[in-house]
Amino acid sequence: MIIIDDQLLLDALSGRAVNAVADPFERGEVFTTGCWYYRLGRAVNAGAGTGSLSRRFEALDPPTRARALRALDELPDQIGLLSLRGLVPVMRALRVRRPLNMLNAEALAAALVLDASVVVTTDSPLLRSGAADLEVHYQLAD
Amino acid sequence: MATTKHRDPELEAIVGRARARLAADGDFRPPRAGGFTSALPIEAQEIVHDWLDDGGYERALELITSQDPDLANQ
Repeated sequence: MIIIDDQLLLDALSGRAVNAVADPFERGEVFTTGCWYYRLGRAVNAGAGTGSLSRRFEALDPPTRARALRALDELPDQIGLLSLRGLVPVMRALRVRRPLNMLNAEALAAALVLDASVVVTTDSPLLRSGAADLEVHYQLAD
Repeated sequence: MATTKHRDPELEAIVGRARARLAADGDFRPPRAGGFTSALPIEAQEIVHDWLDDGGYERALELITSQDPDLANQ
């Protein structure tokens, strides 16, 4: 079982799941977190001019643009997501050497509950050290 | 060979209760297996790939996390 970050989620949603994600996808073993899913949604609209993905989508005709935005907004059934109702008690109970923000606490709590590996695009030192403290497997996607 | 993990017993108990709660609430529904076909139109896929490859996503994250540290990679 793996938990993927928002950039890996976007890769998958846009049809180019990386190697570390493709096989778990086939087996129905891919989760993400609420924070990463939310961050992806924010990223789609962040920025100005052609820096923004939503602005780049303006090159598409309106129906295609609407389908594209909807496809990025809706999490498909092939990707799991655990609710905070179950995760918050675990997030509160995490004892790690360095304080975690909500994004990282949720990722580690989900990894513990699912007995999953955390797979990320960019190395995050505090997430990595928290994973080590909790004996959660952490890897950078290739 | 299986590796025994040495986690805090109290944390293990909380994780166990979380699993039970999530299962009871139906939140443990496993993701659908068998691969995934993008719902993004092909033209939109190309735009997303270009945006990812030219650093657009990273720039978007810098903007978001400057406003919201709870969403930052730490």
